[in-house]
Amino acid sequence: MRPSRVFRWIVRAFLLVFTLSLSAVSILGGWSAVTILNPSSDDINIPDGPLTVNLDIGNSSMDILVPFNISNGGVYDLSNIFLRFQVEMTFGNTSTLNNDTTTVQIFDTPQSYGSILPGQTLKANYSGSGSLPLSEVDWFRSPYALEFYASFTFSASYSLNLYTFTVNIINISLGHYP
Amino acid sequence: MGRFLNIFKGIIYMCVYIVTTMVIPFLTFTWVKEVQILGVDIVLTQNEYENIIFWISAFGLLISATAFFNYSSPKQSIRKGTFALVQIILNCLYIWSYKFSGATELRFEIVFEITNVGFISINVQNMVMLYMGVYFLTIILKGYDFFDFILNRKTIREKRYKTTAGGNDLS
Repeated sequence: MRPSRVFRWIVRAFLLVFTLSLSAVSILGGWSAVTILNPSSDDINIPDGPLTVNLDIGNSSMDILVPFNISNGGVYDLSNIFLRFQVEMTFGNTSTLNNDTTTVQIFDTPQSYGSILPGQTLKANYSGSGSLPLSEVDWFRSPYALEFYASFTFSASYSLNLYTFTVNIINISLGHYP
Repeated sequence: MGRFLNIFKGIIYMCVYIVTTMVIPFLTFTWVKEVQILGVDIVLTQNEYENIIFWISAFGLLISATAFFNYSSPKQSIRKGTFALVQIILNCLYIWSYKFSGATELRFEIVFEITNVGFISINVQNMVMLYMGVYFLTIILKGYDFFDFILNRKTIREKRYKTTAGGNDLS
């Protein structure tokens, strides 16, 4: 066999090993990611228990506590775990001519939780506090003076950061006051 | 006989490439286009779906056609070297098309009782870029083959004549 062909076979063998390793990583990673994200597997529970929202109108403040747990049942680290809650408040604004409906963001706390090793579980609480701008609220607005809406973002990377997934829930009604 | 065998080989590989570059991705994207999880619809937008399918079909057809000419060409011929190189470059463009068609960052709308309540996004761009890297190394290999077939044309022909007694070099 010509020396050029021998060299070619060596490079080709290297490429084959490289491609097979990459395919194995993508197949294993993809399969594990599907296993973790599968709703019936109960690997991701946000919230895991009662969600606590303390609305203190007197002190114009609010606190949120969300217990959660995330299990990594896959073969790679579940990394870059990120949670973010945003709460918006809708009210009649007395500083405008017609008490126009105004929406302001009263809570926005992004939090990162690092990585979870394979087979381990992260059990933690997401917590944060926000302030309510109540000085311009039209308390006689109907049907409610204050309405609260929440948005939620969860993102994480998997399989040596080759896959990143994000779940975003927008404008879910949290409740109202009074 | 060898000629017909080469054509048969070309057709087989063309079919393999049609399945792997067009049929499997088409079925996968059609399957994930609308999934229902716990009663909630997870929907891929129609525009995004059509864009992805268009680019997959366009490059898939080109790759399959080139695969026929590549695999039906005689071994170590300049024709095979040329088509193999073209096919690898098309493969790179095919993988790149996943990025610019939006297939590497799929965004599924979450629809609950007709209302859109959010989205799920899956980003596999890093994985696709890594595959691009591997294909780039293959381009070097095919380029090397191409020049090897040109520079050692005489040796290759002598070897071919020796193995095919009385045969003609039709490459």
